[in-house]
Amino acid sequence: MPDNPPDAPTPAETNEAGERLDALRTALNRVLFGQQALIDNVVIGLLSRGHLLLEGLPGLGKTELVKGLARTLRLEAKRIQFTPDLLPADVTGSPILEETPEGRRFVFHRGPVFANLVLADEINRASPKTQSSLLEAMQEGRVTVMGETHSLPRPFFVLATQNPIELEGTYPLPEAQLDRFLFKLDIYRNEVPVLEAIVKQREIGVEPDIQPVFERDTLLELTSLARRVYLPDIVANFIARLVDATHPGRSQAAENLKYGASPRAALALAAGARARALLHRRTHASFEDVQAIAQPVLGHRILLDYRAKLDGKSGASVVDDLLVDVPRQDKNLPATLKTPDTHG
Amino acid sequence: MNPANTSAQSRLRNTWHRHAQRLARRMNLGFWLAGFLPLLFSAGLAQAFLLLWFRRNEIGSGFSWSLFAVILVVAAGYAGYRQRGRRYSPRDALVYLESRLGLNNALTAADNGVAPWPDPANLPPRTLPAWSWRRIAPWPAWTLAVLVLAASLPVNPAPSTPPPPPVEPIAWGEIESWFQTVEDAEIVENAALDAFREQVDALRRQPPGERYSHSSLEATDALRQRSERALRELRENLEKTARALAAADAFPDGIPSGWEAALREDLTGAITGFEEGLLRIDADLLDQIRELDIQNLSAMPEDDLKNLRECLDAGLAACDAALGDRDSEDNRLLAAFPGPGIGKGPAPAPLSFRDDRALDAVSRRESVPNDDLSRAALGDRVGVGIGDEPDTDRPAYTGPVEPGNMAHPGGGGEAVSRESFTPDEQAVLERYFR
Repeated sequence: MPDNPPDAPTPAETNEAGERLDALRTALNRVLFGQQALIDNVVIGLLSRGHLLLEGLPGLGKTELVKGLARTLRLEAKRIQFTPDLLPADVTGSPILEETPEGRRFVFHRGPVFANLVLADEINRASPKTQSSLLEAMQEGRVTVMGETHSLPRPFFVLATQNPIELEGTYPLPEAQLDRFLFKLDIYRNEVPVLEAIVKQREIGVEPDIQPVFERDTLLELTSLARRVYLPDIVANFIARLVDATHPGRSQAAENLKYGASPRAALALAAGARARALLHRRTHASFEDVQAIAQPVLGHRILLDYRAKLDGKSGASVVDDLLVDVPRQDKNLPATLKTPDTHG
Repeated sequence: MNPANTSAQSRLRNTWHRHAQRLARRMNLGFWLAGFLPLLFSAGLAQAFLLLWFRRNEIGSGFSWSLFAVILVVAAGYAGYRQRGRRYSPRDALVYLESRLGLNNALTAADNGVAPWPDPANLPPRTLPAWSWRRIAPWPAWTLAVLVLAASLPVNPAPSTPPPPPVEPIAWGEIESWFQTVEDAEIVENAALDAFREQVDALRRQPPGERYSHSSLEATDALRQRSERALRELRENLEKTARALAAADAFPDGIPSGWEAALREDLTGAITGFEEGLLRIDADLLDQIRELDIQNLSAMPEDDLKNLRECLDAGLAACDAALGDRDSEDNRLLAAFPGPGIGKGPAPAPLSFRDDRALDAVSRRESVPNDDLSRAALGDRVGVGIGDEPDTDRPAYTGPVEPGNMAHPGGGGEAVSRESFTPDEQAVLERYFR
């Protein structure tokens, strides 16, 4: 038997983390009805320390989700409504000339980006310059204004939203900037039973009563634990083959793609698989974890060409095809054997 | 982890490893079979052909079976070599198992000491891939069928005798038979016959493939014509001599002076022909002919004359036998029916059509026989018929029948239009003159 990976969490640690995360999911379920998959992906995103891009129609609970997260985790949350006239300084903050007893001096006034949770609402309505100021903060974890660098608080998460139907007067995020979001999550409308529950249990203008689940430090501990989750070599190999297969000519599914996913996507898949394994109280990631998060990780990172668009394909359908094309194991069954019937 | 747990985990680990090793063995055997079976069939097919060939040539098949076994061993090695990149290790088999069983890579993690080994008792029993007999069975079945067929199919053994020599041109045998016939008559010197035979042998000595070459056939034809000419000359001279002898016998009191010169001239020509001809006759016979005095035949011994006559008759008969019956047949016909005409012997048939009513009483049709069509050339007339219809000029204008009557009214200008113009031209003219 090989030596134990030194950093791998113990089953006890993963069980404890699982209990806490279950509590968080339960609390968030009270905020956002009927969106269990979305909540799971958001929690996975948090554990992976990644930023999330939410796409959905107004009124589906994006802001409520962020506010609920902030309250359950005792995090500072801020919301920025992106508009075409929003300036970078409106996001990062700016130095203000102040009169002090020692004389006049510039004092840096922090912008709304200085928070643990930032809801960047309708990010695609701001100019590219303003978008890039936020994206720089997301990437670097700090803000530099007039030569002075200010670190952002830890943890720092950006949950950006974009509206899929208002295309007039928008500045769609370029692919390079989309790549910085760990997940792109689609928020769908609720079904009738969920709507009925919302009507019964919620009221306009009244915040749901949510108690904090754990502290900010616990969240940081959980993110550290997620990073220690064991990623078997065979799963890492699967991730590498999956990302490679997104490039044109590398698989049948990628036939009509313009560009495939970057190495950052492979890292995102690995981090997401680890986080999902922790969410399911496991000490190791698996093929199933990779397949479960492949859609939100890869969907926005592959660029379709005109033929694929004419064929009615989307990023999601291509990822579905990829998961069929790329086998979990890089070894096939010989032709002289047939797949066993595990149900028999 | 307490000792009981450690022991249980060790047991589970061994169980899973046994499973994995068994699966890896099956997978590797499956890959090897996938590579080997087509080779087995190919080798079986080749062995079947070899077996048929051995059986046809009546060679023992032990060698072919040994060769087949060696080929199978080599094919087995080659199949293993080709499939080496696909081989399953026990660790690969563990991954396959956990993937098939939906264990979330628990076996790999357990093998790496990260997670406990799952209990196989709670898992579905059928985890090993099953053999696909539908893909395996046809190969050995077909191979076996082909081999059985090759071993049991009735095969005619190849003929062991060497192939017959190529047939030589007919003319060689024909020439030899001519000279054999003449030799049997014992009137020609053997040296003269041997000269001809040597030429036939020279032709026969050339390579079999050359016997029907253009030059060979040309030489054969020339030799045949020369031989035939020599035989005809011999026959002609023998006949002249025999005729002179017969004339002398017919006039025991002396040949009339008008005939004597002609007969002497014939005899002299015959002797010259015997001396200078291609087939020199026997020297004793030639001396007897030289000494022949047709005016005083009774002076010669009776036995010598009788012997000479027999020799001449034998020579003529031999020549006739060698040259065939055609000449003698024609001569007999000519003698029986000196001609000319029907019922009186051969005569030329009328070669033009005419209304010859005189022939009606005999026949409405007669033909010129030509039995030897091999001598017919293009344009030769092989038959002439006389019938009722050769009177082809019946509608022709015959001139006025009696004074004052018009034999034919004529067509006038309309005839020109009707007989010279095409329908299109006639239509144009009609439109123009309407």
